[in-house]
Amino acid sequence: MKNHAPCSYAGDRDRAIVDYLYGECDPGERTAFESHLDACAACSADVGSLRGVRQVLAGWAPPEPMRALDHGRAGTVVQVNDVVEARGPRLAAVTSSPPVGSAAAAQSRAPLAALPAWARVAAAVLCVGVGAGAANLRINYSPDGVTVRTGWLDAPSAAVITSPSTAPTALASDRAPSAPWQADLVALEARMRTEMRDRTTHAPEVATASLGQVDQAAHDADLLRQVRTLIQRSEQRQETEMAMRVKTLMNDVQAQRQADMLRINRTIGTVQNNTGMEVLRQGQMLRSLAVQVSQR
Amino acid sequence: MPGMTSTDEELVARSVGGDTDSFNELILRWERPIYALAYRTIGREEDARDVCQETFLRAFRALPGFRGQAKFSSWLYRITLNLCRDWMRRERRAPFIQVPEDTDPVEMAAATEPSEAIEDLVARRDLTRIVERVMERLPEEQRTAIVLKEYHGLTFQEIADLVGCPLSTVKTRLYQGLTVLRRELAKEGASVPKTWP
Repeated sequence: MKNHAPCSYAGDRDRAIVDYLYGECDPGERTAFESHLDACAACSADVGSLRGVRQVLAGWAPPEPMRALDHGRAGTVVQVNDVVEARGPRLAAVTSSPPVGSAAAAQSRAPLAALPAWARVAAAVLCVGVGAGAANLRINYSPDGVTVRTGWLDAPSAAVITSPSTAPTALASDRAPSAPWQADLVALEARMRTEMRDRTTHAPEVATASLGQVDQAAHDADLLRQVRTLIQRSEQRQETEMAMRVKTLMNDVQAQRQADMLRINRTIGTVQNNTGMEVLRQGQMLRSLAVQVSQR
Repeated sequence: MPGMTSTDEELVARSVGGDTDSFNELILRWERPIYALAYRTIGREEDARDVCQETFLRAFRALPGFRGQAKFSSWLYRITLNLCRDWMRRERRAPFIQVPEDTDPVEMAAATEPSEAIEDLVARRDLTRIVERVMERLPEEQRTAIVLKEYHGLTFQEIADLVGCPLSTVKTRLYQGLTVLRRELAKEGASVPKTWP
């Protein structure tokens, strides 16, 4: 049972707590102090709360440096070399590492960005082609039209966009010749074939162009998102820097203002003293004149 | 031998012999802890980066004179702390500044999209600000002792050797610093978990 009376620990209580908190006491001391904690509510509470403080501190991590000591492709510390060179030729002779500059460092971090646009489009098309091959996708361009067939579809149910020349005869012959709505149906069918014929004429170029356009659009969207993120972070950094500088300026202005006020107060005090003395002197002169006048 | 990591002492010896790749290896190994120490001491990202850079420059210049009396990391820490102290004296202002309310140094510095829930991110950001504020209120020697112990894992004796004070003084500073932080965290309204000893 814990004792709520003031602590009666014989030794240096604070140092014992620190040793116990950080686990840097020998087993005998640890056991003895734990016995004391079992009996002393004050020390027990103290240790518990300080352990909590340590847990809070453990969550504090410094920010990742924006421009850390830069590292080149082979791990060479670029910025130290750059600063060594900037500090003078004596220090520049220290390192003989290859001139790994910031361009190489940036390139090592963004290999995709270094590829030309056509290479990226080709890579995207290759990926699509591999995917299509995996799906056993077959696309046939023939004078009869565009046929798209996948491996898991049966041939008769494959999506077929054929030229209108093959279908209409069969369709027309299958219909009941005596249906009253036949004329309308035939007219509609002819119109649809015309539209489909026009569409299949331009389908191959459109399919190829749209595939590349989709990839390019996705890439552009991703680039735009990255650029916006970079701009946003840059703006935040600038805002922080601006806030810091404004605060510094305000502190300096405040300090200067206080110094000026102090100087003004002193000056006013001096003027007041001088004025007072002048008034006193004038008064004395007037009194002496009055005395002289009265004596005449 | 490929696959084996060289010790600091081995890298130092090779660096003194003129192998700059070995010194670069030391930098790669220690730049993040040195930057973290500088940032937690002076509280400014840009200046912490400058201190970090200056630390390695000074270490490089003084490397021939390093005789291995202390650990290489302790030697680097000493250089960093001296530079931080010089910075604070030169600036003659509180080492920490108040981060503007509408900016988030943690989020800004993240290289990737945050992968945690927004609530956790906000909580972590708020806690970071609170910890920075309360750390600002600590005296320099208490803050240095806590930073070296909590974030760099130095032993009491190593801290004592680094800052040049008795062992008992280090423990006293740690206790007093933690006590101040407990009080200041309570003022800030931060919830400090109470654990059973």
